[in-house]
Amino acid sequence: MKGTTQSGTTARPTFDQLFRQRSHGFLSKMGAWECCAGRSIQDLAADLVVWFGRFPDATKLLFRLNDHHADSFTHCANVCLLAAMQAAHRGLSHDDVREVALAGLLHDVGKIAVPTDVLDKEAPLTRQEAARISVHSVAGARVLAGVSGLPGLVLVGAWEHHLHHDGKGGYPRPSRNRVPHGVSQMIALADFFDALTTPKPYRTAQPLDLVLQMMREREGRIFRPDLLHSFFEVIDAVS
Amino acid sequence: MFKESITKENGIRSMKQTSGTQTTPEKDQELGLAEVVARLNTARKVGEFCSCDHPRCLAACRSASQRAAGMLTGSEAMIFSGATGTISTGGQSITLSEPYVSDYLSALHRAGIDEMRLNAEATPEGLVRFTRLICAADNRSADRDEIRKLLEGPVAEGIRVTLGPSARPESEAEGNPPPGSNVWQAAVRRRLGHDPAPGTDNGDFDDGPAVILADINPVDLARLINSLEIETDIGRISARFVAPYLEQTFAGGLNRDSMVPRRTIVRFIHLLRELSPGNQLRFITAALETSHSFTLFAAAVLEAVPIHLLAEVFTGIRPEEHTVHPRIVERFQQLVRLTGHAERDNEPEAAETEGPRHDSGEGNLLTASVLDEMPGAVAAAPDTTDTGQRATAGPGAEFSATARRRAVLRVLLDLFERATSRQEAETYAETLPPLFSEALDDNDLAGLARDWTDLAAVTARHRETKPQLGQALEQIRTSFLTIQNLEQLTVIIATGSDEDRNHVCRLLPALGDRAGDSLVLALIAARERQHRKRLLDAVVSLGSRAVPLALKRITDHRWYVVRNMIAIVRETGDRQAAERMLALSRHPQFQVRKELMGALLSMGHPSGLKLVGRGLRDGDSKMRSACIGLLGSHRSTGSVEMLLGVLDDRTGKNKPFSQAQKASAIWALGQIGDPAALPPLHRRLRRRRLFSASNDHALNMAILRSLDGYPPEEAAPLASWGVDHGDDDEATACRRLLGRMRRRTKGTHR
Repeated sequence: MKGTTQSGTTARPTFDQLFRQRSHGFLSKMGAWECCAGRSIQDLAADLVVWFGRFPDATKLLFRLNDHHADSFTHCANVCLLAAMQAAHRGLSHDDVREVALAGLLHDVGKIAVPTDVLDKEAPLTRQEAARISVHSVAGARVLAGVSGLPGLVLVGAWEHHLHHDGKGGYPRPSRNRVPHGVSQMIALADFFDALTTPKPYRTAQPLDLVLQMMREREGRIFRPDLLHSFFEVIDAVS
Repeated sequence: MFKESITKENGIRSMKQTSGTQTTPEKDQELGLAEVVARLNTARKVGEFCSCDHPRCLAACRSASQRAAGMLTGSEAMIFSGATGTISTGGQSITLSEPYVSDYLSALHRAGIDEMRLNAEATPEGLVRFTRLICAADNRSADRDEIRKLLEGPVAEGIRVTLGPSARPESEAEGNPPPGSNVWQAAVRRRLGHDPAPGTDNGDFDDGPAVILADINPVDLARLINSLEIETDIGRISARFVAPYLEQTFAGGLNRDSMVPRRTIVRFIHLLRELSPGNQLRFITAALETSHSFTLFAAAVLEAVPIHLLAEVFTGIRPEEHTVHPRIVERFQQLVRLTGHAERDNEPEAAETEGPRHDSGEGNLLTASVLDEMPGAVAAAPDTTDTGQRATAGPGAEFSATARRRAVLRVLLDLFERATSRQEAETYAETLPPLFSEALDDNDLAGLARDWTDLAAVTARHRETKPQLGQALEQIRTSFLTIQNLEQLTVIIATGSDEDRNHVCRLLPALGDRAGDSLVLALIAARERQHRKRLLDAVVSLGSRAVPLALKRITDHRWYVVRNMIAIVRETGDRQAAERMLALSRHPQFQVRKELMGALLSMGHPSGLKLVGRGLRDGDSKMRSACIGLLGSHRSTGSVEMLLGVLDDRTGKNKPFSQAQKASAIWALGQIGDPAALPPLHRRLRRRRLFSASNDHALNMAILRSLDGYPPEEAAPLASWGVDHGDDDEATACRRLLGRMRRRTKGTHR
């Protein structure tokens, strides 16, 4: 799905509209969720989207991502909300929740550098194609490092969201053993969950139980246990 | 080739591209900063400048800058020299300071700047900017020569005249104000919010330094003053501003109606801390002259200057050597007594449990409100156990400022390592100094030290291919080296946790001599033995770099300082430095001589044994005992003969050794364990004196007990002899000894 062109008859939506439009499905699914302070997911989303408006350079990047690959934008919006829900559930401050959300929103912005035919390929990926996809975390961090005024955690989330919790695996290959930051792990959980529960050109959406089971199997190695349990609590509250 | 001329269109100066020869600069007209910047921008357009790294663009920018600078008059050039920040040109930001500083400087040089008298022609803003430029540039080797050229000429003279004792030029005092003096006064009034009606100025207003103080980073200014070796009376002038204010503060709370802004006072205190000891002395002398309430002002001085610096100033520079009024000397000595350092000279170990005032936080007389404004200034020692770990508990722990910084730094370093172009590497390198500045602002020194280690490792890996990180590192280092930070580092080393101390010690070598110097000063001032030990270890960890710092102070008149310096040299094991310490062998203080002998012995220096031999022949019994102890600790077979000489009372013309000293020598021989000492000892055991049996008994027992230190196979015959020929006590001791020897040779243990 491509965005509107400059010469098109329809006006380009604002970021606010685009975000609401793309996260509509997710918001309706998660409608029952309430954070500790009694705020609904809709309230949280409304607050976040206003705050995101303070980063025009970042939203420009997201428009570009939407133009390049609309499903990736939707995925980013979902991860943004899921990460924010986790952060709010863990009792982080309002500002921290916002930063986590922004980091989630921008975590896959590096997919601009990945061709759409690779992103949407139905057949299994070749080694070269997989390598091309895996550059998106580095590419994202590179792009975001050049955007002034962004919170530092955004850069961290983009770089580390495919790193394993045990510091031994994932990509980009860590130069030294290191445990990813909590924000990267929250994004990783949200990323995994949303990727598997959303239908893709190459497979259907997986059932919730199966996805949760798969996550449990990765506890301690890929996902940090305390954050995983916290994530399960969020999903329990919704379901 | 483009040529420029200056035209005036619609009241705005601009440069136009023309052909032909370059026009003469309009020296008689003054330009504002905005116009100069506009001119610079136009010049850039002429040079078709863009901000990329292409050599052609760099060269174009360089020549355009030179042309622009070459067209300025002296005072305009001063303004121009201040344009070393970021200038926006049509939405594009250009950072001027980095590669072009030397070009600017040479252009200024050519523009005839060294023919003008700064205090007469330059505006305060110009001087401020020029000073900033020098301060910003003096760390880069490429600029050093240019700066030297400027500073060797009349420019330095101009600065000296402006900042030095005659802040007000004579011509002005005679009613003939030089050009620019009106600008000075107007600027001062603006800064101080003090705008008297025209004609009411009483002329008693030392304005230049006040403006400079208000506008320039005091640390930079102090560096400039120190580097030019200006004997400035800025202390006198500032004291006149600050003294009444401080006194009012202490006497009855903050006087908010004071004409001196609080910011100026804070900056003044910073400046004072950074000035050279000579200038600090001048300040103190002036302060004592002008202060109405000596005690209160003395308290202010104590607050303004770190205690160890004060100690250095007071004791390193003798007031009696300066031409000051006897009353001042008297007051000076009173101030010395107030600091407690006079007592320290006599009783170095007396107050082991009391920390220095800046450590304990006691006696801080400045109000907290003023101290709060001083970045990095702490009224009491920081809670280092909490450093960088404030939010380690709870879900928000990893969202603490420290954890965030660390995560971001790691990503930036990873990005830097993967950077494929110079520009990309520069982008990442530029983002690093602000991260470290944040850490500094948060006083997270331990975290900073940890991050520095990571940064230095990556820098070392890419030193050749990507030098940008090295530049960032240098920038961070420069910004880090403030007195306040160094003080905090020493506090962490002296009182911090082991982990924090280790981090800081790793940071020290990178910080260079200034950090080492700060540590040495703190070592001198430290009163608690444990703090001294930690600080000494930290200084020694600097390795060979610590040696010059120590040698610099071996002529100090305080014996305990000299002793500490000897200890530093001893720990570093530098034998060349040991040569330079030999002069101390005639030091009047016994402890110094003793430390020197111990150091020389432990370093294996041949003079060590010679000095000890001389000490054994000394008339002073304390020295003899110390020498015997040193020989025992040293455990060198070369000293056996000397120790046997003690037993034989080989003292020359001096009185014989005491029994305790002889027993000590026997113990020392046992520590050495050289079998060559056994036959003489055996002879001594066999020699019994009829009338001094009790003394002989004590010494014999000492000999038999010391046999434990010798090889069992060598000592056993002597012990057997003791069993057969000794009295009851001796025989019992020998039997036990033989039992121990047997167990030892069989390899059995209890």
